[in-house]
Formats: sequence, structure tokens, C-alpha cells
Amino acid sequence: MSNSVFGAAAQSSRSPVSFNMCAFIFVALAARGALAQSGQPAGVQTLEQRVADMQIRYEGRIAALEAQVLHLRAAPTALPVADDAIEQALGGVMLSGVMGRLDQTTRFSNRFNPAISLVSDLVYSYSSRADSFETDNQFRMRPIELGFAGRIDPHVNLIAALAADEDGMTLEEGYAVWDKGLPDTFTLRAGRLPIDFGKLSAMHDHELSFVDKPSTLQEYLGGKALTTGLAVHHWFGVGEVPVRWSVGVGNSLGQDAHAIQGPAAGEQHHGAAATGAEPFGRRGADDFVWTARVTSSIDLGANDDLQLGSSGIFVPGAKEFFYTDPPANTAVASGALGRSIIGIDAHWRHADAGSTGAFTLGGEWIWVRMELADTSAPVPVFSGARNHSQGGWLFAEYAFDEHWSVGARAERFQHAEDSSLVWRGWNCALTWNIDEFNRVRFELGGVDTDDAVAPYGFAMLQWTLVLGSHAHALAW
Amino acid sequence: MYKLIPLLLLTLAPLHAQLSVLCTTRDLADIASRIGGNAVRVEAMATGAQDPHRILAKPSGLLKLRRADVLIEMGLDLEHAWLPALLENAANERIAPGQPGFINASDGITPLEVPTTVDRSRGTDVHPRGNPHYNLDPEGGRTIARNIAKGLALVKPELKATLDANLRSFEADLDAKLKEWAPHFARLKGAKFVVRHGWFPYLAQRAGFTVIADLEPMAGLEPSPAHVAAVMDLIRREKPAALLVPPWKQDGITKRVASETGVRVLALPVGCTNDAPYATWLSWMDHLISALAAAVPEPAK
Ligand SMILES: [Zn+2]
Repeated sequence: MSNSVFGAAAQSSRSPVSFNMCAFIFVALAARGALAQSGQPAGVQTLEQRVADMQIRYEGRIAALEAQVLHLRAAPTALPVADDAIEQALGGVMLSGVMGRLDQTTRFSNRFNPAISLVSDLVYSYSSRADSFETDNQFRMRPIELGFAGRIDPHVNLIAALAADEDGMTLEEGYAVWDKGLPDTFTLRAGRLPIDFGKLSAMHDHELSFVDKPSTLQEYLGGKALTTGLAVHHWFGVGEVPVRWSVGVGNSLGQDAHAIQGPAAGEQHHGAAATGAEPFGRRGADDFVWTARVTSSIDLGANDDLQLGSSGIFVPGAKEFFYTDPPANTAVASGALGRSIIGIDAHWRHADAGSTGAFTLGGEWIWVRMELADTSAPVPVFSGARNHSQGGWLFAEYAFDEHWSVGARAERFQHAEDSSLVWRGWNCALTWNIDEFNRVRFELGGVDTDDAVAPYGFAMLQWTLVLGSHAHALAW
Repeated sequence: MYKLIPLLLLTLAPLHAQLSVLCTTRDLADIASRIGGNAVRVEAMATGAQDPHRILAKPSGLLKLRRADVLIEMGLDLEHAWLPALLENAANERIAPGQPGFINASDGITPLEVPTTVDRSRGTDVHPRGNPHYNLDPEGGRTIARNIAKGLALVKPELKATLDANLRSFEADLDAKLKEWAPHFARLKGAKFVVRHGWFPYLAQRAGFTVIADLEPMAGLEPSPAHVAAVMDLIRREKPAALLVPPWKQDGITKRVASETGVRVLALPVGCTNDAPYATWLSWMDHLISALAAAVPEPAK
């Protein structure tokens, strides 16, 4: 689910001829106007000036178009010099037809460019961890997120997000949304998709109220859960209550964590093919990941709303990589291991009158069931043992106005593979939205886990920049 | 079975064929219910007690848009931050822009304060197409009413006679009010006001008062301390009749300006709300214009 729809970037460019003509007439008339206007009140003068300006602009355009008509009459076969406007109008025709032919190559033009966005996120992270050299007490740059979105045709939008860092560029998301022409409010998504799970998983990092996604989400889903496949979304009303649901299927449960702190910190694209791996053999239906979500938003008066949701991810029996130590770093594929993840989420929002301030209280709880492998076998197989873990978070956020907000989050979860190990953490964030495109955040946090790491605290200073005009679409 | 229900409703439709009209603001809803009368069922997505630039997009809004036969917007990009995205998701062809069911109430308005350039480096301007607050002007109400009558008649031509009659009745009420307001306008002529956001250029033009300063250096931008200081200097020098703020802007800045300069603060809804005395567009205008006039000191004899 995409959380931001980018503003339309299409703009008609004025042809040089009409611009020059405009400019000429403008200068001439402005000079005349300046002579005429003396001793009038300032307001009237400005208004008159504006009327005059508008007249000039339209006269200029009309003159330019008349010139084009004359030009075309004189040489009907040749394209006029100032052909921008006409070409613009014909653009759809020129670009229509088949996608490619054997004797043609595709040449892209700037016309109908998609909306482009770029998000830069720099974090200075300090932590009291003893082993912080690699990750903390230094500047950390999240991979720059490059977003593209645009309509392909009357039926389909294409959305892509690339993550670029000094090691290269990876495809984070890239999918088509078939949103027009299907019955009712059905939409079909296909490609590299964010999995519709809970409220926060599918969000982009720059849309969060804290620097990182909750550690619980990082532990159980690696942050943002992704898959390559298909998903069907649909929403409808039950009385006055809107309900949305989705089901999806994909190759495997992939993840894309760009976490600074938390269980997935330092890891990036999970599920990358391991080198020297044993072949997996044939793919069966069990290897696929199946997803589902249903959610509803209920208005509690004019200023309050409550969203409730429930999601599930099911992998009946996927093969996984296991690394055998000697010889170093060789991976073998396991037999089928099942995994189920179920989550519930609730978010209550109260908006102040005037809608500049808002209070949000929200949380998600997740249950994970994993089939454990017997790694002593030459090819690891399901050992017959399953681990059941659960965890979640609760957060509160208050936005004083458009610019300032504070948030606090507490979480607790059991490790996905060993429920006897519990992880507890908290975060507090102060966010300053300097404007729509520029944000600074200070965040403090602490972690206490049952594994070998001693309790530690951390502090982060984050500066996020968004390039590209955008609007905020509904994310629910 | 499920598929039969809409069919069943369709056969019943001619009996109770009320048009479902969704309006972005209460002003539009009030005028639409005057014009549409019994033929329409009107709902508003926001009231004058809420900032119309920043209505929160909610899934319930999606549902309302999905079910509406007609959508009426203020236009001039007033709703640009939240409506287009909702409209796209609602996938309701009846009210898609360009369809008869989509009524832009600002048709024919000559926008004031059209920016000559829109440039990010100057900050976020929430009025990229000029000032959209023409609902704070008696003649703006007339334009709204006429556009609604015209628009609804396109959706349902058989209502044209009723719509025209209702429009005439609304305009008669408005003309009567304009006569009542004439002394207020006379009092307001030449008066000076300071504002917080550009709510008033249309009314100022109509009534002949002057907005000498805006606490917002640019539409939608919070003032810097230097800007506040400059406005306070101007207030001390020019002694405006009042500082006009919307109800949700009675904050620290407003209070500080009031306490340090002694200027009177008038916090008035910028559209009609759900509650008396602002429950209809005409009654709200009545209160707004009287309150402004009352703030102007009696001319010296
Ligand atoms: Zn405004």
C-alpha cells in the first residue's frame, strides 16, 4: 500500500514564440500602464495591473496561436517552428499504439514523466553498547529512497521505490496497481509488493513517527515485509463503517529493513541468495507466502476515529537457507518449514478542532509460530518442534501543530526462534517538521534483553529531507 | 441474491429519488440544501470551526465520496491537500472532475491574491491559485448558489424549475440581508484590521475596509518572531479596529499580540458551523458582518 501519492508533474511549457510575443506586448502595455497610473490608491492600481497582465497574457497566446495557424496555412506539410502546443495536444496519439516493434527502439521523452521523489535520511546515532563501533556513535545514512509513480494508462498506476547507497541500488518496491476498470472498488497489485500487514509494516521509513520501525516488527518481519507476487484489495461500507480487506500471494517472505536501532539494525536486504547454496529443488505450492488483512475505521464523532485491523502471513512450508560452519559459509537448503504470523492492530486518533493538533494512541500485537529445523541432519529438516512467540508495542503521539510533535513507545517481544528470550525497549521522540519537506527529530531509547547483551541506551538525531511535490493519501 | 439488492433499490428509486449531495464545507451544504430543497440529501465533510485547508482524510470520507451522486467543492485549490487523493481512491465516476456530478462552486469567481510565482524556496503557500475564501463575501454566496443550481440541473434536468425557484428565493433573502448590512458596510468603510491568514480579502473589497497586516507572512506559514514584532509595531502605529483570527488560532501568538498592543481580538468561525447562531450561511454572515462593524469605533462627530 502506498502512503503517498505524488503530485501531478505535468505542466505545459509555453512555446518560445508565444512567450516572446507575450513579453513584447507586456513590456509595451506595462509602459503605457505605468504612465496612466498615477495618483490612484495602491489597491486599485494592483488590481488594474493584474487585469492588464491577464489581458496581455491571453492576447499574447491568441496572437501566437494565430501565427501558428497562418504558418500552417502557408506550409501545410511542414511542422511549425512553435509546435509545442500542437505536439502537446497530439502527444497522446503520437505515443499510442503498440509498445514496441522489431524495427523500432523506444525513445523516452520528458512528456508525461512520472512523479519523482527523493528522500534523504541522515542519523547521528549514539549508544552505550559495548560493541557500538560498527553501528553507533557515528553518522548513519539510510539508503536514499528514490520513488517513481505515474499512471500508465486509464487503468494502471506504476509505483517504484529504489534504495540507493554507496554499495549500489536495490529495488525496494516496484509494482503496478490496476485500480480502474475492475468491479466495485477492487484493485489488483502485481510486482514487488509491500505486504499488507498491520498499520506500520508497509509504511516507508520517512513516514514514521520514530526513527525506526518497532523492534517487534523488525524481529518478526524484518521491518517492511515484502514479496513478489499479486494482491487483491477491496473496500466497501457496512452501514456507515468502511471496511477494507486484501489477500495476496507471493514467492517468499522478503524483508527490507533500513533500521538504525533494533534487531534488524545493520542488516539490509534479507533473503538475498546465499553463495554456494545447494539447489532448492522443485518449487511447490507450500513454498509460497499467503497474506490476508481486514481492517475497519470507525468515526467516533467529528474529531475522533478508531481503526481496528487484523492481518496474517502464512508460509505453509518454505525451504530456507542454513549455513553450515565448516566449510566456511556454505549454505544448504532445508526441508519445508512452516511459519504463521498473525497480528492485530488498533489506532485511535483525536484531532483538535482546526485539525492542526492531533493525538494518536496505537498498538499492534503479533503472534509467530515457527517450525524449527533439525540442523544435525545433512539437509536440515523439520524437527517436529515449534516455537510460539508473541510481542507488540504501544505508542502515543501528540502533534501540537503542524510543526511540533512528541511521541513515546514501549514494546516487549519474545525472540522469534526462542520464546524464552524476552526483549524490552522504549523510545521517546521529539519531532520538528520545519516544513513539508524538511524534518529534524531527536529520539532517546533504551533496550533490555534476556540474551547476552547488557542493557543499553541510545540517542539519535535525525534529519530527513524530501524532494518532490507530494500529497498525503489515505493509508489504512 | 446480493446482486439483486441494488436492482431492487433501483426499481424503488423513482419513488424516493433524493440526490445524495456531498459538500466539502458546511457553507456549501447549507446553500445546497436551500437550492435543492427536498430533492437533495446534503452532507458536509467539514464545518467552519475546522481549518478547511487541513481536513483530515478519513476512510469514512472515502465511503461518503463513494456513495455521493454529487460532490460540491469550494475550488481554487482550497481542498487540494486532501480531496484529490480521496476522490481518486473513492473511484466514483459520477463525481469525478469533469462529470456533471462534480460541481466547483468557484466557477466565475475572479480570484484575488493570485501569486505571481509559486516557489518552494519561499515556503509552503496554501493558496497557489489565489485566495479561495470567497465564501466570506455576500456575493460569493450568490456565486455558490448559482453554481449549485446550474450544476444540480445538469445532473437532474427535471428539477430545473424547482432549483430556479429556490435560487430566486435564496437570492431574495440575500438581497434583503444586503440591505440590512448596508449600514454595517458604511461603518466598515475605511476601517483597518489585522488578520491571521487571508480570510477576508473578498469581504474587505466588498465592505471597503483594509487589511493592513497579516500575522501569517505567507498563506499557511507561521510567523517568525521578527514578523510578529513588525506587525505589533504596525498595530501600535495604525490602531486597527481588531485582530481577526479563526477559532483555532487563539494561541500564544494571538494572545501575545493582544496583550502587548492592546488590540481587540475577534475569533470568528470562517464558515457556517453546526451550531446556532452560525448554523446557516446567511445567519453566520449576519453575525460575522455585525461583529466586524461593531468592532469599528463610532465615527467622531
Ligand atoms: Zn486560506
